[in-house]
Amino acid sequence: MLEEGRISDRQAVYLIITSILPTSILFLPHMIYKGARQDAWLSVILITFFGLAAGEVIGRLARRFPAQTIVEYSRELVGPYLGGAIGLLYAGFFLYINSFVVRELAEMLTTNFYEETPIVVFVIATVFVVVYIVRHGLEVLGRVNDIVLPLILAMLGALVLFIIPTLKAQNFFPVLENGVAPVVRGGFPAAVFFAETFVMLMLTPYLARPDETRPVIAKAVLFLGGLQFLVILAVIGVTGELTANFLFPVLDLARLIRPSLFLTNVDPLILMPWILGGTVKITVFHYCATLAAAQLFRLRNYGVVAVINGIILGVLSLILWEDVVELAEQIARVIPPYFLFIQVGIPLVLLVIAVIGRKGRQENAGQ
Amino acid sequence: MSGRLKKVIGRLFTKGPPSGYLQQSHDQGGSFGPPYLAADLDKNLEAIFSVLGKGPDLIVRHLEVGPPPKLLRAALLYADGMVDTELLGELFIKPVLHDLPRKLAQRPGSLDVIDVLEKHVVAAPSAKKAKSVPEIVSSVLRGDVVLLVDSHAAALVSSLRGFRSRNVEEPTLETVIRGPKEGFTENLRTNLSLLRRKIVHPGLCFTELFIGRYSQTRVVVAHIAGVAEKSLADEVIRRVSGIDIDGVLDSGYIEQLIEDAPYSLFPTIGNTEKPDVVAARLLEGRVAVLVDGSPVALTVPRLFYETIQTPEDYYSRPYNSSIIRIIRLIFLIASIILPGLYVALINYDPEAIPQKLVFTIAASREGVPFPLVLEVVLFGLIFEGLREAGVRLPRPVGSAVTIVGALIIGTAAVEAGLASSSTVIMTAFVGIASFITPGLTDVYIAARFLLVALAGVLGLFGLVMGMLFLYTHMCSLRSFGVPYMSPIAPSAYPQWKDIFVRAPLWLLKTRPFFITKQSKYRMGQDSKPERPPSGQKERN
Amino acid sequence: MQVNKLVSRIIMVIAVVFLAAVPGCWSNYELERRALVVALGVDKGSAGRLLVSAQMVVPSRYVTMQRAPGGGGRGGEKPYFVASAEAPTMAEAARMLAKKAGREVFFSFLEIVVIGKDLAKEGIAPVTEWVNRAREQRLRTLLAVSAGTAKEVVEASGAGLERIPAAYLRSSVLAFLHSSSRVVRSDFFGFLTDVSLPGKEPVAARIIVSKTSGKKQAQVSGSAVFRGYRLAGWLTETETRGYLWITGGIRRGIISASLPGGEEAAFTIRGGRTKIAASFVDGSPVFNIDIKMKANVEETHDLDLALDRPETLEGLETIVEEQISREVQSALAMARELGADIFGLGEVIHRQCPAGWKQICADWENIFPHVPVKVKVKASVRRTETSGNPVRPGKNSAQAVWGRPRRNII
Repeated sequence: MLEEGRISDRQAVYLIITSILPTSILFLPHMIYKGARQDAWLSVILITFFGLAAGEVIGRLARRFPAQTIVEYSRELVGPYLGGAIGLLYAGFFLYINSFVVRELAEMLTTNFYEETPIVVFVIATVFVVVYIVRHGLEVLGRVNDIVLPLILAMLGALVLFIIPTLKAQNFFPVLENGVAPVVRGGFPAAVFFAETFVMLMLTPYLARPDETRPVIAKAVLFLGGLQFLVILAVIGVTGELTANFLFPVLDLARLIRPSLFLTNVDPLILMPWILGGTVKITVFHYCATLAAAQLFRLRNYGVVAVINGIILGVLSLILWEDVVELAEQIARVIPPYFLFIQVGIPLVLLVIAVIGRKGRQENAGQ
Repeated sequence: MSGRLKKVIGRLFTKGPPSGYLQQSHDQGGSFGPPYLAADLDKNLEAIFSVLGKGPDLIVRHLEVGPPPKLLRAALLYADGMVDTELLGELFIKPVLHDLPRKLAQRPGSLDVIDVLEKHVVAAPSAKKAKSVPEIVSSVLRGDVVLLVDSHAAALVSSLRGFRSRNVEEPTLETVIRGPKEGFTENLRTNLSLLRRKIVHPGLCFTELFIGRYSQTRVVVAHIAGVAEKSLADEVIRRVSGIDIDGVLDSGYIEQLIEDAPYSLFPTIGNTEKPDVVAARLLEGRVAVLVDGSPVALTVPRLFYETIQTPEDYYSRPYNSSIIRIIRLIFLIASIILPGLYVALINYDPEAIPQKLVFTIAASREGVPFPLVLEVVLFGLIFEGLREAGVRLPRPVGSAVTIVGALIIGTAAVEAGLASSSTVIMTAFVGIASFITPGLTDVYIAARFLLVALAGVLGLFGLVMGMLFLYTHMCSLRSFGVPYMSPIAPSAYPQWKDIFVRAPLWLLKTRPFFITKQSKYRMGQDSKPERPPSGQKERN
Repeated sequence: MQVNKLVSRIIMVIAVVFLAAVPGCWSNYELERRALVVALGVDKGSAGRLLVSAQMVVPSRYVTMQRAPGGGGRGGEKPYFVASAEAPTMAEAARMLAKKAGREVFFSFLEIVVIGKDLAKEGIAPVTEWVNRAREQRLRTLLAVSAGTAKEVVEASGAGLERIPAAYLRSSVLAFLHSSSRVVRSDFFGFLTDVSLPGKEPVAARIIVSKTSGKKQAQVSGSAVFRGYRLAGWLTETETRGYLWITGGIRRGIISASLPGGEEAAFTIRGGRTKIAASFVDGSPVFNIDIKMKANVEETHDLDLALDRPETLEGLETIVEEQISREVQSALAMARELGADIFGLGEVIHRQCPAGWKQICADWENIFPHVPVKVKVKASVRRTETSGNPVRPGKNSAQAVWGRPRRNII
């Protein structure tokens, strides 16, 4: 067995949340607002439902194959060659999507905080810590996240609390000024984020109770939807029309706070839990990539893979994009269909094959 | 691997001193002469002297006992200073000289004198027969009295140990305002009795081990059967009996040779000088290790949260305890990250500091010749040095040196423009804050400087990465199978009522499940005090 | 095995520290190498360039200075330093300040940015763009327009009770707003929000420099009205309060009004609420501004006033209402004259009648000056502070009025 550790349902929920929250809160408000304007909050509700639907596919698949990852059962479902190809696709995709995240985080840091530091420094430091955590295994990752997520939530709570006095109700009106189309358009780039629950395709067998995958995903998606909703309310209510001009509206919210109590500007402090969360997010993805690669090549130990993958990750994140504009453009326009196909499409196809071929454990077994 | 295990198991099942004094000596080619006593006193004495030598502290008293004219020659052996001589005279020599002749006269015939001595004569509380030379040698070395009788191939061993040892005093490190003030001494027997007096239940088990090739130190592993996991106690015994070292002079030796993470900065074995603390931990399902000659008992598993707890938390009412625990946690975190945060904020993100404070810091930094990082490291080292000097100096001078030294050097440095006042204040605060939680002494300096270095290079990002690195390391630790950070991570929220705060005692119904699953409840279900029925009328 | 693993871990730790340390420290500036800018003035320079003047704190003097009334240190040692630089762009000019200061300039502690009248007339987009884009500057920084040049505001040494003039300017805006509601608290965030909305124009505080006892002192006086990024005109303090009444920005303040007998009376504002309703009558927009406010009687010069009678208070309410109406109308008239919809009436239509707004939004600039606005004020004067009727002089006084009935105003 590659991974000896097991995580509880709660830790799985936490891990999913942390593997989505840091980037979704940072990037989504701007993307959604650009499409949906003051109705962005409606987009969030819409996208939460999409997240639930995507989670349902992954959850059903997990119920059929509670002891295997997608790399393992895809071989069983579509044969060793096609299955192996799917495994390779996922091993690569986790790396690819992760290099997005690494670059996003690094770009955010250079743009907002450390103008003069070369981006490669952030990438190396992040990858180093990420590999360090992954080598300790899933259990340690779960434990690390047990504190990191509450920290992010506390920070987010404090931010929203401080910002409440400056909310302006009129920013939300008129509702549905241009009909439903902008709402859908705004929600489109968010779909990728809310389908990131697909990490459970790799993590299910390592849950203490693998059968709980479906409720785990549902809980995580609902929680995320709620948080995203709150944040988008705060963003629209405070920055209103200017949201479209801010690249990272939540950071701008932080800059707008001037708590006369004790600090002049809180945004560097807001940044701290953020870096933590971002790193844990990258770690979850890196773990999945490493595990997928190790299973693909039927290795007994993933320690070395973690390091090799880490190096690949760092290099990819540096060479794939020229600058932040290209990065944002890709996230918002180009990638959603492809990403969604891998995140939800392939699992859906596999699920259909499993149902038709009566593969895996039957739905009603054991009840 | 399996060979080592067999050896350990073999040791477990042999009676007497398991890690053989005898075998060791044989291994080293030492000669013990004939292992069993002969029926001749002179030969026996010679055999014993050949092992022990005729050191100045070996007292041999020659006696002639029995009803005249059949006087038997006998020899009394003991180590000087380890026997209570008053009791020896009263309970041993006197009966041997006065009562033995009478007893022997009452029972003529060929009698086993040793048997008579053991059963009818000697008034000392403990007396037993010994037949082998090594047994006698080790008894003498441990402070027993040995009586050899001519023409008998046996000896009588009686324990009349009475060496000087410290009285039970209040520990100097773990002082409490409320609660038991007694502390362990260097005497294992006293320590065990202190524990027995606290837990009067047959479940309290002591497993005795002798560790150290030369020191043959008595080590006792204590646990409460039915409360502690059997597997945990076995694991501790296994690890302790696996130790092969020439001498164990303090429980610190044991601690360093059985810990889970020997490279880690973080301690994974707890220690205390207070019997009430050991008792409390035993009741939580932990296992304790007591070492003869050391007033410090070890307890395992030791988890991170113990750092912010003191026994007094449970003796006083919950409100103050809870607030103090939160303060301890804040100070603990502050004393690790504050220097790094200071450097990161001032050098990279001064906008997060209140404006007027920035002006003040900037003013005090004007003219300081060192970069901020160097200044922080330098003054951190000076403070730690002064602190260490304060500990080593004679006590009345020590505190004066620390305080006055820090004050004078700090003030002088600021006035001379060598350091900024804010750095001196920060360093002093951090240094003092780390006194609040002494359990992590190893961590503070190293972690602090690591974070300062990272913060100096990468600002808040570096600081955060350093913290994540440290924290991951903490999460990856285990102490005797229990995750080090539990119940914080993996989070067990119901247990937090006794971690970050101290909930009222009657709410702490369950034992910490992550330590033991043996007996879930430690108190009755209705332990909450209730108001008495209001039937009584008010009286003036 | 285990030892190797642990050794490799330790090497990893050391590696990361050195890895990070080798390339050097990039964004790292020792605090004493930074010049902390607290106020910035931007003027039109020669040949279309921008003249930036900065007020920077001298920390050692700031900390050790004796507080002297009127600001400034002892013996002419000012706790601040003023430098200016000229460049085609804000960013360049701001960085050129380093030459004068001898240190890296740092803008996170910027309290206020003052813009000279001439530059404001041409448009202040360069300034707002610079503040919005760079990471050090904050959108919560106050924005004000100087009636003259910004440089003289930044150089003015009067600091009130504060240590440095910049802090004085900031706190005087806030204090004056809280105590009299005759100034707008304008920051870059508000300015940019208003500029970006099609149906609203921004307003900023106006600062003048006066000379008292040989010392120049800047002070807030009225506000500046913008059309887009360009300065369109000024509002007086009274008009500013009218503006605040309409936009709901009223805090505290005193309303002084004449009683029917000609005596003066003062009322404290105890909060107000404004509702603006937009509707379309015959295809053109109509506004109803509904102001509700509470006030206390603070002072009256008519000693015969029967303040213990409800009728009197009702009479006073009418007087207050009329006074507020006058303030509001003056602001409305000024805004119409300048053709700047500073009240955001366009936005009101946008929210309340989105369909109608689409018809007129393109032409709103021309419609606004003629749009009918009905103002309804409801004041409620319910408290007379700690005293009841005014104390009248006794019998023996020359103005003895003993026994004369107290008057009501109805």
